[in-house]
Amino acid sequence: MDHAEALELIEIAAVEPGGLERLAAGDTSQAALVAGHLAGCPSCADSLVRVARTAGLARATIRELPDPALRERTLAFVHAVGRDRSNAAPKAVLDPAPAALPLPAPVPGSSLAGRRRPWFIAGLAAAVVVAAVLGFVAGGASRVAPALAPGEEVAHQAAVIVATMRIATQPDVARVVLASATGGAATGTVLYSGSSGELAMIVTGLAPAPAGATYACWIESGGTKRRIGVVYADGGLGSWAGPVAGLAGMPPGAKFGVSLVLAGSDAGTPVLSGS
Amino acid sequence: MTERRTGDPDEAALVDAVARGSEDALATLYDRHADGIHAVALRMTGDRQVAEEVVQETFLALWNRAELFDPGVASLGTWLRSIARHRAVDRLRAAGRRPSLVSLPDGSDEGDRAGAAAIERLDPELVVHGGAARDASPEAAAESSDLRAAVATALTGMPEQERTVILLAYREELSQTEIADRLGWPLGTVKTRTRRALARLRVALEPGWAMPNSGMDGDGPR
Repeated sequence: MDHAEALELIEIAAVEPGGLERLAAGDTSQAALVAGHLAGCPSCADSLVRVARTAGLARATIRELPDPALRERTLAFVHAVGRDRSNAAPKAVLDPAPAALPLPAPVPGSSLAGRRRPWFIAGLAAAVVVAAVLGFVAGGASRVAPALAPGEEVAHQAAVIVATMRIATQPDVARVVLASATGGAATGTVLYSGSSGELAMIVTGLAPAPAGATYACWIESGGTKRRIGVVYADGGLGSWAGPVAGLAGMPPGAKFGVSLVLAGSDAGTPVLSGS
Repeated sequence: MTERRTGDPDEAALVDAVARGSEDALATLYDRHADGIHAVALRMTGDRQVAEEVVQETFLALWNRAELFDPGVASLGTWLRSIARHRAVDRLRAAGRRPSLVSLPDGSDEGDRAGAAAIERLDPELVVHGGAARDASPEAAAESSDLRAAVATALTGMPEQERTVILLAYREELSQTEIADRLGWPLGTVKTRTRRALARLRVALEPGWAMPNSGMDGDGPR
């Protein structure tokens, strides 16, 4: 075995899980060859030490480095749920990704400026009805951006109202209060029924979701979290309603919540939760 | 990314800018400190998902309470890592788990006591417990930060194919054969790219080590 062959085996062993340990054990033909070479080659023995040190340092460090995509998720999260500092100074557009590992494009903030809501009064009245049924007072900053086309928003509001009314009349109706997971002003209420298999969620106080991000509602039980829908919002209220499998057998301690999810990502950041 | 010391005027200015609503300043501070915060959170929780959420919550706390940072009391890095530790402990408690490592100021050093006082001003509901072990010295923290920066820079600078194989090997603990199967590359190609990546890391971690130019000729069919 020559130097190049020995160095190659050492370097590959240093990268593989438990590779250097197996090499040191010497119980394979390759390990025996390397051991034999190292016994007579101080230079390669020194290389083994240096490679092992570097590989160990690199492994420990790399494992602790965050996913590069976390940068955009974090900045979007703060933009969405952080306190409103717009009075202090104009919010700059999020920094483009620095020279680093490839990252998604920057996510600019969203704005409701200039949008007209001729149906807003009717929608607000409907929302008040829903809120009353849920025992929940509507309010909060009207900063949540809608994710539906204008023509679909009224239909969505109506569907949520109808579902909420229906759930409220069920004999096994259950109510869960959602609290902010970040210490912010957002709150919410969940109403569900195992017998009808339906769930309605109303939230308020969420900041506008950045472009490319949505608020997703979820249920967590038995250690498994499953997404059940996207929270559509406007006029200060966000909502979702629809059939959900498994409500009849919902175990005690099941959690309900809302997370901010970037497009193309399965990972979300909880902003509201309750059980 | 090099750890900044107590009283760094540049970082104080950036935090002031955050308090005035600058998301650019927040992004700059993220680039400087996220690696260290993530490392602390991951060591404590052993869970990457939770560690990422701790990072997000830490920068949210920075955004929401930037006015509370006092550069005369503690460096921004110390302040942020303390926030991250407390968030990690909260997460673990909520999950009914004990932290893998809890290293909180134990009050035996003036800087640690000042850091603890700063944390309590940030959130009066937080309780600073006596630490089982002292924080790493500033020199050790800086060395660790420099190490992370060197590795991150090396990863950024290497070709994507090399970065892919080394991340699969170190983050997902895959063998060379498993990496070849995952990527659909010949085993020889995987080994060559892995060795090149390791060589780049070695140069970054040991500047006196030159990039070898033998034994890794050719890149295989892909």
